[in-house]
Amino acid sequence: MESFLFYILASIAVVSSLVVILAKKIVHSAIWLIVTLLSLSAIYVLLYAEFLAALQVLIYAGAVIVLILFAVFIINQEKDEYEMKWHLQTPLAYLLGGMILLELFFFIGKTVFENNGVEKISLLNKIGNTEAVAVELFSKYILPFEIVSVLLLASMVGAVFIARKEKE
Amino acid sequence: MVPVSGSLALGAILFIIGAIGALSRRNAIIILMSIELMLNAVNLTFVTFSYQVGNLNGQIAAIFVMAVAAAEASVGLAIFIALYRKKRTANVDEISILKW
Repeated sequence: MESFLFYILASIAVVSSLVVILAKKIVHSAIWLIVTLLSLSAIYVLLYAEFLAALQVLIYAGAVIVLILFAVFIINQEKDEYEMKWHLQTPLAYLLGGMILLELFFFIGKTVFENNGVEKISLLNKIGNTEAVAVELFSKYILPFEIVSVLLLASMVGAVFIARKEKE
Repeated sequence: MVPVSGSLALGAILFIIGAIGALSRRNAIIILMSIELMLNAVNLTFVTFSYQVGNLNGQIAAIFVMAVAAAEASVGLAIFIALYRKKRTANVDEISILKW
């Protein structure tokens, strides 16, 4: 049952990500990226990561995409929404991407995974996934947590400073 | 029981799709969206291994990746908006000199 749901969500994710990179208009790409991110969030729920699924909806589909859409509407470019010239880079990118993908499939197929983590994770999630993640995050990973908060402050100040109006 | 190799294969596919999008498109916003797609594929790989091994380290790493990705998306879009004010184009081919 879980693997059947997983394959449905995986095909939704792959198809929508293909539309993201192939769509002619930018707004269509952004909307299909929302579909991709939401299907990934559902996959996280299947993988016993409910806190991360909620964070994915809140942060990615709720904040990052809205930021991208703001930028798209500020830009509001009518002409040249699809690239006119042909570059050598495009088929080269497809070729190299296909080769790397085949190599990755080869290695994933060769590895034997012992699927023994499900019992351990359900045991950890007995107190709820959020509380289990919080116990680890605030005890073992407290230093990266504080550093990430400083990083977010720095990026916020930097983004506001870079994008401000110039004084005439 | 989610198939671990199937989930890793999905992560690999999404990563390569994002990489191809970042290399072959000429619009700066689409390149940023492809980079977000790549970061999401990495998150999926982390969570899959956390599911396979049985502890929560992968999920915590995915939380940090998500935070850094949000910070980087905001700064990238700020740079892009500041650049667009001067050059009036969203095409990365025309942003080819370092200072004008």
